[in-house]
Amino acid sequence: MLLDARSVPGGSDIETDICIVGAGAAGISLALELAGSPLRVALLESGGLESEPDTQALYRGRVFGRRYFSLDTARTRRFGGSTNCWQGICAPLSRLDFEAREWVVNSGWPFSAEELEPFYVRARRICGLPSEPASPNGEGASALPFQGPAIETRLLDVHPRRFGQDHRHAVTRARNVRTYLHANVIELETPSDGGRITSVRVATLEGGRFSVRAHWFVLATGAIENARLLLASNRIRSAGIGNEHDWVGRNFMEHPHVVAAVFLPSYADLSLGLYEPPGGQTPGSMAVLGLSEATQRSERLMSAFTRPVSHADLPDFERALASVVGDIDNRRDRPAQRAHFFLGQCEQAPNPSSRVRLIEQRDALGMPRVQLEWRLSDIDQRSLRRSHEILARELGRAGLGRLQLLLSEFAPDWPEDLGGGRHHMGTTRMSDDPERGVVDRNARVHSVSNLFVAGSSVFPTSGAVGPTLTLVALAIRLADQLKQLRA
Amino acid sequence: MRSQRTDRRSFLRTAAKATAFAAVGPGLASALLSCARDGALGHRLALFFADRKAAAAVGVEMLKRRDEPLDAAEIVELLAGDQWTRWNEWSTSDPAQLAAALREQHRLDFDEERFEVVNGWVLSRTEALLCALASVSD
Repeated sequence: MLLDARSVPGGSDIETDICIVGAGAAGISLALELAGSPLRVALLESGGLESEPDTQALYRGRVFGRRYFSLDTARTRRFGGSTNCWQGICAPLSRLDFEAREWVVNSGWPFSAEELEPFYVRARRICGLPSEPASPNGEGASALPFQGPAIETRLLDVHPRRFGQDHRHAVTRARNVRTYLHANVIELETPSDGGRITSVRVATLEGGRFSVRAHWFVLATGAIENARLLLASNRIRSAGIGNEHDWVGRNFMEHPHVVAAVFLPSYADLSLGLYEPPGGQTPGSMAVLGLSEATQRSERLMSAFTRPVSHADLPDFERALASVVGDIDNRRDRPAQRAHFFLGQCEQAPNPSSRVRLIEQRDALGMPRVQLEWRLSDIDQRSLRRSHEILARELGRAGLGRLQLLLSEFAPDWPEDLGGGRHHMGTTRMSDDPERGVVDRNARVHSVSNLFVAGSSVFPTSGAVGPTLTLVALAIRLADQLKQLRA
Repeated sequence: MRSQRTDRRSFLRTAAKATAFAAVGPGLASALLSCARDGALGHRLALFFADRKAAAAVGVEMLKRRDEPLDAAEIVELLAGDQWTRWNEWSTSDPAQLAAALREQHRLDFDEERFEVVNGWVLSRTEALLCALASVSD
């Protein structure tokens, strides 16, 4: 059932079994999995079905230090969440991404990759992906033939599924799921011992106020808002809910993106077609070049990959170089006519000083806004640079071409054009140790018996691929657990 | 990344090793350089690239980044190392064999990360030196 919170009478107490806060990829996946179960579900979404400027403005905040997207453009606050504007690149995390790596501080998930495998299969369906992982686009597209195992071509599925449009019918027709639009949760309410959540306070921009009481609550509002809501719910516990050990809001992670290299092929007709994304909304696949797990281990690097994003005709020096390279690589008769810019993307190491915190300024509903301090570590830049050096080595060795490195070994900081994927992760990290994380292996907040967190805020480490497929898999896993709790 | 930088002193050591004269003195080294400069090997290596003008353009940029200039003889010695005698013979008797040896050395440079970074481009030391030679040879 689809409802509008603006029509809920002020002061109401809505009773339900499970209250899901946020209808983005995680919240909708949970609702889909719980649809048809005996559990009563309330799905609370701040926005409407379309974009609304006043609602989107609730996301405004301050960016401190390193330049980043303004916070109200880095995410989408409406039914479907940020899947309303994503590229749809989907891939599971690798086996190594789950491991505790001695060269990555605070790495290691509480469980291995095998734990998530069955949920990835189900997540593929929700993300609209074919049951089998990606295969190459079209005929004739092939992977670059490297001569060693250091660099691997990895195929990623691409399907920019709009969860809000594509799953709306399934969610709203479910008899046990009540979806409330324009329902902004402004506080989690706890009794004096703070050990459980009794209700959430809901506000509308029109001034309406009501509460939702539930047996279990799930925060699914994204890594910035999940932290904001926990920190702002500080009437009983002054540091906020789940923040006994000062982890809430810390370890904010992104995927640093930067044009890291230029590729000059050894010959003109070297095809990079496999590495190009399918156009528009068309589902398909796209390949990336990444470090093998063995190379990550031996070089003690974070996960990283790169792919061509644009190309340009050759200036004079590069034209001369193309002739030289074609000649020595035995491709003299067809030198390259253009070079390709490679966009590098890497895993960011968990860094407690990279964080979200509350500031004095408040939004239209009276909630404190947040300040984002995105801080990177030396290993992030080293990983991206070194991975391109290794790529340069392997391209040259295989006679495929040369790489121009745009990340200098001696540069003190990242280049000006450093960006991110608008992938927000890590602010309510998962750990079996209550002193090292906010949620346990089941995504339950350690210190609160009936509060769970869904979404990439629970990721202890991020891998280099987009988080959506993994957060959907985790949401499905959580839904199964909630059904068992009910039983 | 390891980048091969050779100063004049280490270059002379390489030259000594190449000719198997363990106790070579500066005078003999100079004579050796002259021999290399005037030898067939240098000429052959300078002509390795079909488009010598393009190679020279790359070579000029490669040499700009060095603290000390290199002349043709020094470049030949850096390229050939202890292969000098054999390569010098091939330069007249079997140029195809010489070209194959250069390409193999070029590939091994990448294997072992013997890079020269020229205008940000990661080149094998061999291809960079061949370009440098093209730029300093008549």
